[in-house]
Amino acid sequence: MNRRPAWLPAAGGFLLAFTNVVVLGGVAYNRLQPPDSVLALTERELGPQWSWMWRERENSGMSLRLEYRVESARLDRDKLAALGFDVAPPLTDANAENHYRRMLGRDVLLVLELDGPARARSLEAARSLLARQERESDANPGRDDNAQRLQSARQGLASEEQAASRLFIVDAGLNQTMLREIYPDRAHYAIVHGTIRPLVMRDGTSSTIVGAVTAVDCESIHVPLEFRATFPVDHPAGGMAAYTVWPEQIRPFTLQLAFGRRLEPWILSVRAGTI
Amino acid sequence: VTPLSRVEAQARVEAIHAFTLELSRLETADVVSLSDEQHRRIDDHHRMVIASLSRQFDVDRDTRSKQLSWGMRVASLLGAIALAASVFFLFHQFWGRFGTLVQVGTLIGASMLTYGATLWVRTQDENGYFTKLAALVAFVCFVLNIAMMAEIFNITPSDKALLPWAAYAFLLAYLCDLRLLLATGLLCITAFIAAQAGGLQGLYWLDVGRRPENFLPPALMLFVIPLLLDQSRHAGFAQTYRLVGLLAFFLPLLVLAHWGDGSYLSLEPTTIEHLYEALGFLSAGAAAALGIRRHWPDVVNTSVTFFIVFLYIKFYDWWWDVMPKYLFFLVLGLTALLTLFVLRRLRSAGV
Repeated sequence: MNRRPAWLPAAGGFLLAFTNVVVLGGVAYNRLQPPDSVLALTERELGPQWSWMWRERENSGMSLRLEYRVESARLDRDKLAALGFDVAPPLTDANAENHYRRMLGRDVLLVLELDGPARARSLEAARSLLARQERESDANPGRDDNAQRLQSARQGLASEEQAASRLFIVDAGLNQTMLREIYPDRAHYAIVHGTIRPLVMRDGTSSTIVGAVTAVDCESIHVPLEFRATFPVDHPAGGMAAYTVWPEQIRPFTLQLAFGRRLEPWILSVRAGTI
Repeated sequence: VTPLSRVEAQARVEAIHAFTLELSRLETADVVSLSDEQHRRIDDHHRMVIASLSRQFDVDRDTRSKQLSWGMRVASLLGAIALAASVFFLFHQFWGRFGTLVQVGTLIGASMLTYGATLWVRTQDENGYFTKLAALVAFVCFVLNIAMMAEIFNITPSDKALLPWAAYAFLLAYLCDLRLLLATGLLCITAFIAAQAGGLQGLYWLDVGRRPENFLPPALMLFVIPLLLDQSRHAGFAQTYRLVGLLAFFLPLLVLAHWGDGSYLSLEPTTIEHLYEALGFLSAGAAAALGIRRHWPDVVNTSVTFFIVFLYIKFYDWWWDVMPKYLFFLVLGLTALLTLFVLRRLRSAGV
């Protein structure tokens, strides 16, 4: 057997201990009081997590998926420039397509807004669409797809009112303090880590550039055992296995989700029923 | 000279066998003739040396023993992979039934316990087969330890996790002479350096694969390490460094030779692709030449393989659409023959 330095085995034990101390120290720091924000989310904002990897009952853990929407209008060219993207080349340039296609995502801070102006705008847009479809239907009673258009608009409004997530990504930045100054309401605005990249949107002859959110780092929220007993979502045994959850299987719940100093979330409480 | 490692001990045993065989040939050809007394003294001495080395290092005494060793090595590797997978699935099967404290305790305890078990097995197992098995399970437990803690506490995914994993893989590799873990550690450190290099450009670390050039600096670093730090005490470690270095160098070149959009260079994608094609040919040729000069068969084989892959892909681009298929494959076959001739000439010339 090779002769090895005597300190090598001890170094292994130290490495294991040190790494775990660093990880747990980071968790403790993140959870120092008070949290950066606490959002009261419901089954609309937290969907069941699924994974192709596990068959039923092979993974006993449970996670929830953060359901968010993006208000792209706020993530415009100026915002992208402020985030460090080179968006100077006009979209009409011959080389623009190549330039923007090759851009990759950047790690940024994203602002999540719960049931705020973005949701109100979305609700208003659904109502306006239904009103317009009703007007057009009244003006053109013989049109073949009137019923279909009306039904689609009504379903859109119903989803917006009762089912769709009220959590919107409304802003992005690189400085947490500055973002918090703009969004001081810690019960409705959370700041999280995520990734954004420029996306060229083409609509006929016109083109615009917007920020596409490619990832939110805290999309998956682990549910500790103490909350699972009272967790009011019908999950099959096996937790995260891939399965379809029908709307009638999801019972209303309210969950207090805290975001700590490192902007990492954890569940504070869960109770059945709406707010 | 007393051997310090199992590798050196095995080399000594093989030198003894080679000496015995060659001496017998020389005697048959009447080149040399030893008396019975001299034969007896040489045989006794060799028997004593082999017995001593066998006790100390559990070396393979003969060809049959060597064949069995290979079988045990394969069984040990497959067993280690299967056991590691079993630990992974076992934890996932039951972890949801425990509270956070028990989960964390189990994860840390499993890491510590398997590490302790590896150290203990190492003292009991001179040939290293069981040590290797234990080491691989210990490594998987540590990966699981950090990955599951990140999941339990919703920790933001980070490339920094690659550092302790790499450090632990290196530590176990050097403790147990395990090339698989050395390669794992090298891959972890390559990914970490590449992610950090991408981070300097503001890129999200998981996008590192979309800029293959990030892998080139760590690849060169890995290739150079065995030149700077002596690895002769660990069988196959220098080759592993060079092999992983070459793979981390040639694979990005291969990708960039067909995907110019993935480059940092502000040039037309086709220009970038031609540049990397040329670099691929030149570097594969240069590495093969270096391998021949330094007597590194691993470098020669890997470089020649990549040279041929670059060449075949180029042939495909040029001729697949314009040539009849029989002619295309004939050209490929003739190219392989040409490569064989060139290599044979080099070998005969003793380069």
